[in-house]
Amino acid sequence: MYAYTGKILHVDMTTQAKRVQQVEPEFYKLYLGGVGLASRLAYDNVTPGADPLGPDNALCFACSAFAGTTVPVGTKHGVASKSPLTGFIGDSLSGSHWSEMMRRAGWDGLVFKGQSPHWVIVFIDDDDVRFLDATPYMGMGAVEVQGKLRDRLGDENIRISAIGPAGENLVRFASIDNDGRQVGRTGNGAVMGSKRIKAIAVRGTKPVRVADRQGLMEKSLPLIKTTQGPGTLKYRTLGTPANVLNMNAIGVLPTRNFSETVFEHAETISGEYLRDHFRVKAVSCSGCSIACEQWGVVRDGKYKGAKIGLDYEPLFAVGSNCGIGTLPPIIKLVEMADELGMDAMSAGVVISWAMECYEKGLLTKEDTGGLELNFGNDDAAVAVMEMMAHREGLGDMLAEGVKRASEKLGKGSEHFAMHSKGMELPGYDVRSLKTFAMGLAVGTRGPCHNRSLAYELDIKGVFDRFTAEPGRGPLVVENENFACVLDCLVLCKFLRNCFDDFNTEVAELYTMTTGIELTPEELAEVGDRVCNLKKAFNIREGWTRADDSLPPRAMQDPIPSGPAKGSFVSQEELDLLIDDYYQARGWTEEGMIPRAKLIELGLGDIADEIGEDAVVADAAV
Amino acid sequence: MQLKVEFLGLARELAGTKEGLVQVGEQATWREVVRQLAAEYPALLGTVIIPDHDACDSDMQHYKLAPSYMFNVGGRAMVRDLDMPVQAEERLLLMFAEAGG
Ligand code: SF4
Repeated sequence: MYAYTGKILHVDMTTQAKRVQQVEPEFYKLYLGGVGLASRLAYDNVTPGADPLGPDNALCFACSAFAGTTVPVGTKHGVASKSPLTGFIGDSLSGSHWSEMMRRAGWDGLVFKGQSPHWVIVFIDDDDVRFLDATPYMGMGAVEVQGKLRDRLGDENIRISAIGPAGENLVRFASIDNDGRQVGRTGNGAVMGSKRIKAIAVRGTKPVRVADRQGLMEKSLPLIKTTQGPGTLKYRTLGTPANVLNMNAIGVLPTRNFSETVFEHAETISGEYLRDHFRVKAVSCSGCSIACEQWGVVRDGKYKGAKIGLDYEPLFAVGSNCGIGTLPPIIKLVEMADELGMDAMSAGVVISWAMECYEKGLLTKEDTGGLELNFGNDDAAVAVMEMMAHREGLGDMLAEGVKRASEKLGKGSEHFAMHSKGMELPGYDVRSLKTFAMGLAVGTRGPCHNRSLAYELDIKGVFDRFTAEPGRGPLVVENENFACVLDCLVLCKFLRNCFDDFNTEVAELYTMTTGIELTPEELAEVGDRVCNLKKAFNIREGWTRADDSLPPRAMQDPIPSGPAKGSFVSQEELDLLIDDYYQARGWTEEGMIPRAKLIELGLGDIADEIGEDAVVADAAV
Repeated sequence: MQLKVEFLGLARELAGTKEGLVQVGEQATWREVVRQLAAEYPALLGTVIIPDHDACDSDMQHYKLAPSYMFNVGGRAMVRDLDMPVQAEERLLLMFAEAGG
């Protein structure tokens, strides 16, 4: 086997014991790497029923197939654990040199279990693993600590995954930062914090060996050229912030806590405005020849000096969704979220919920510590962002995520707590994107635009986005499986249109890299397998059909104005869409996976482990 | 008839303006709108608007929108078939079809 070493490092944080798991090539054929590998490691190592913030959860990192090779846009890694937000699988991705360094150190995956008695830095130095006292670094920002650690270790090539104050304080949507990129969603930063790991530093000195260097180079060069062609120009020019005006124009831009879908200040927070007034450069994940992230700098005013790479999702969350209509506070808020170590999407949606509570009188000035937490008040948003990371005052409740915060506050605030399964919604109002409503409701990690690409079916007009009828399931499943294959490889989704025959070309790249024979059909099957694996994880944790839901606002409050005025997702429509999805997946009406289906997918051991009781149905596929 | 076209994203960057006007005949199809846009805003050619070799007749050059671009009418309806007739006084968006982020 090439590129992969077949070695997974297991670290028990309670005892600091280490062991090496040897993995056969067949395993990689089933899961590829990235999210697939990390999810399988999580399935195998998280104790069923574990407290996500307790020692029995496992934090699993997995390298991608193409990390450190000539294949572009593939130096990424996957992370998975039991999510402290949802209690289900929490899989996430990031793109940085960290994954390449992990590979150079000789590890395909890392599994951390247990709980250290004191805060540590885990230093993986090729085969050696050391534990350093983290005391001097406590309270430091997630980005800042990486520079300080490199200085201390005396090697600027060391790559680091670190948490900020939010992870230390077990904020349930804490992120893990690596080189300014984040393992953002589902709260893996809190899991890392619960194990009292402030940072994981990796130094790898081994070469990356591929099976067919010449062939891989010959295939990579035209691909790199395509990534710099007209098909990706929109990403390189404006990046994803260009979505702001797009979504606003068709009436799906979440505004003021998803109460409206058209924002009157969309122009001044748009990608176009960012480019003209704040952008200094485009930056990229490691090994990426596209570089979509637009780096914005505030040059004057009260947020002077704030700078960050902006993407659409954080932008909508702390921008239109909080009623904030200028870019300087948005740049500041996203910069804060990254340095404090929080998922900016969840953080923004939580703040917008608190703003609505304040406007409705459900939270008072007494609750907010004197802040006038109205929509659009950027000073208050900045203050609350800091309070959440440190769990100060109101921030302590908000650090639990919008589901738990609304359950604690009550007073009807659950109606507009915009989450599903406990994770905050992404930046597309589903009331007029009904295919996407299906995709979000059934998401195994919670509602996710990256796991379900179904919004494209609505936006492109493949289906009527204002109606719901049976027959959409197969295409939604196909798209979800495809997204899953990309997440397992890992290849960035912005590369998806750069191939003529994706399965054939990518299977060939995989074989040239790893030496593992993989047919196009086998590649395509991985998506179905890993989606079912993640679902099996959830079933084992007690998932039921009732968990596949949307927030009450999406189902009861018609959109008040704009092009999508009047639209909402009725319970009847959601039931129909979910039925359709389960059917397309080959699941039972209750959303359980038939035993035969697991066996067919090569997940027979899971079928055996879960057994034939109520959790996995025995119906024929 | 005269149509107001709102440019979004890269289309706006390339056209150099937020919106433009195109003049087409009363019986025009969407394909004619694309052709007029190509003539008025040649910077869109190659990225947002591409030649449509399948639709070529004897001597007229036909164009279509690149795969990730589309027309949206009134913020609600996607134009799926360029050979359908244009409705008068519609708010027309020229936008890209992919999201993400
Ligand atoms: S296109 Fe953007 S998100 Fe994708 S790898 Fe490149 S920089 Fe990262």
